[in-house]
Amino acid sequence: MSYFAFVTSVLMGIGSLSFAYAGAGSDLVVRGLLALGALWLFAGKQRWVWFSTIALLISVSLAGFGLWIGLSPGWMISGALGALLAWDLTDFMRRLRFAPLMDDLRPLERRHLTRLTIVTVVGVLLASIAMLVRLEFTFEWIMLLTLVAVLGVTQLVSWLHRR
Amino acid sequence: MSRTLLLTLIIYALMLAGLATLRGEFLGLALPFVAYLLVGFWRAPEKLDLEVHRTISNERAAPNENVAVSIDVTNRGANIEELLLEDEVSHGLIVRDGSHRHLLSLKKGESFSWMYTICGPRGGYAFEGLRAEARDHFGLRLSSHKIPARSELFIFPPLTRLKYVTIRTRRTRVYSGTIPARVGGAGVEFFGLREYQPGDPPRWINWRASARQDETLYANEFQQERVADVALVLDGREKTNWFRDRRSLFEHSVLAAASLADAFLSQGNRVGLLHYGRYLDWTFPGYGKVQRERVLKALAHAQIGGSPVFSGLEHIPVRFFPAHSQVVLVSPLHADDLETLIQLRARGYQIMVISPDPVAFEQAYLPDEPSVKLAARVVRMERNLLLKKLQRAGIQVLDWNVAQSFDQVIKHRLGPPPPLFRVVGGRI
Repeated sequence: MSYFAFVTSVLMGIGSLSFAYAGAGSDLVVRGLLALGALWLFAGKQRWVWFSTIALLISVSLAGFGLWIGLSPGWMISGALGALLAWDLTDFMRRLRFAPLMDDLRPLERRHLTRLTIVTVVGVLLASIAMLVRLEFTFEWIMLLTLVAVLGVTQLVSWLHRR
Repeated sequence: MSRTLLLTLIIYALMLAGLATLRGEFLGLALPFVAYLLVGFWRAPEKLDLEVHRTISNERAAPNENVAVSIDVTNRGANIEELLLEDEVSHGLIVRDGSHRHLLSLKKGESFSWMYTICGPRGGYAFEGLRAEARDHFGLRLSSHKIPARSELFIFPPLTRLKYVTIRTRRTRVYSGTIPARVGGAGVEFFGLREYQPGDPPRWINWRASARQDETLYANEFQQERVADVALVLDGREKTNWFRDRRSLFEHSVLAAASLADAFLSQGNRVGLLHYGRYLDWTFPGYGKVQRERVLKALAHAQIGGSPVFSGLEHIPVRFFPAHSQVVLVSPLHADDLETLIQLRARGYQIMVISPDPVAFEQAYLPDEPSVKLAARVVRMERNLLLKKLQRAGIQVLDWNVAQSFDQVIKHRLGPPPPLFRVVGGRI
């Protein structure tokens, strides 16, 4: 179940990014992305957990670059999200391997995938809202809001960490 | 790199990119990562409060005997989404059936029980505790604890029941036993004649001897049988025990020591054990079943060890052994040991050497070639010479080819003497 979800996530992430870059005519990037996807799936089969982190960083970088050159934000978010899910599932599968064969892991897998689905839905909704709502701010306001966001996230993470 | 740190860096990088390019899409791209991070932390495990109870089916087992380990874990704290439980199995033990590790989620107040089977070689094994790792579903926060649950498992050496082992010491203890004490009194074997004294049982009167004298009655005297002090010395030195390809005679020596200790204690003797290897491990002398348990525990822990100090037998602490007691050395022997053993004999100890035969042992693993045969003959002659020298010094030597069972060898060489010899006065 988890492996199927992992393959789907890789296909979703790499497919979204490739589709957007193909639309922009960047064949070299598309070929690179397809190679990355193939390697990622191979690494998943070979249990190379470290590769997932590299693939996530490359995917997020390409999504960011795509936004910068004006590619469709929807595809970029979908690409980054797919990479995040694949990265998470790689580590989850690694943890599952600690369990002996006789353990019934299906409830654990089901719960994990449910939570991942919730995060995906919430993430996509928030990202969509952020993309749709377009407000005109001056540079000073953007600076201030970004700083507030950075500090807010830091505070929230540290509070949850302490809790 | 920590997963949390990686995600945080990605989020901040996207925010900074948004700031640098003045584009809100980068913040939108960061939001799924923020949601992931926050949900992970929201469901992070709290302080673990687990109650663990371990039961071992048999705390004293034989080598490679299956031992069932049952574990009950109860969660006294908050819900745990992902919990990895691992019972720390000592090095050397093998999990034969089931698993010592489980991955599960455990709600508040919920219990989880499981069982697995282990086996292993001779040794003393301690179970310190259970390792518990709790995580949130995304594996961002890890709470790891070792929950103490102490248990012990002793895998005793294999034991051969010996019916009787004949020893004769110069000095015995006051309690009655099975060793002829060279003192007249109540017993079984005829010892001598003395004048009849009031209180002697009438059936002790030797009528034939009394008939030869006028007005004097003579009574038979029997040899008293008492218990003795026996010190078992187990040789665990590297230089006498290791052979080619890490083969060792030590397990045979341990078997012999365990069987002899069991036999001597069954005969009522006071037995102590000295393991002479990397260091001195002395089990103080004692009687009975408790002492048997102590000796077997010491033998369970006994290992081969090398030490420059104890490479020769000259450091055997003789003050541990009561004067004129029986010392039984279980050792494959080395040529350098001769002098020490003769000195020990000269101090008045009755010494018996049980020597597993290293020549026959090693030859069994070597190819059947003329050069090997010749070498074996030379080494055999050297060993026979060593054993002869020991015997000439008054040391009782039992050369044991480990291909034969120990009880057969003991029965043949140290078993009870046949009735005919008993009348004559012992084994020739």
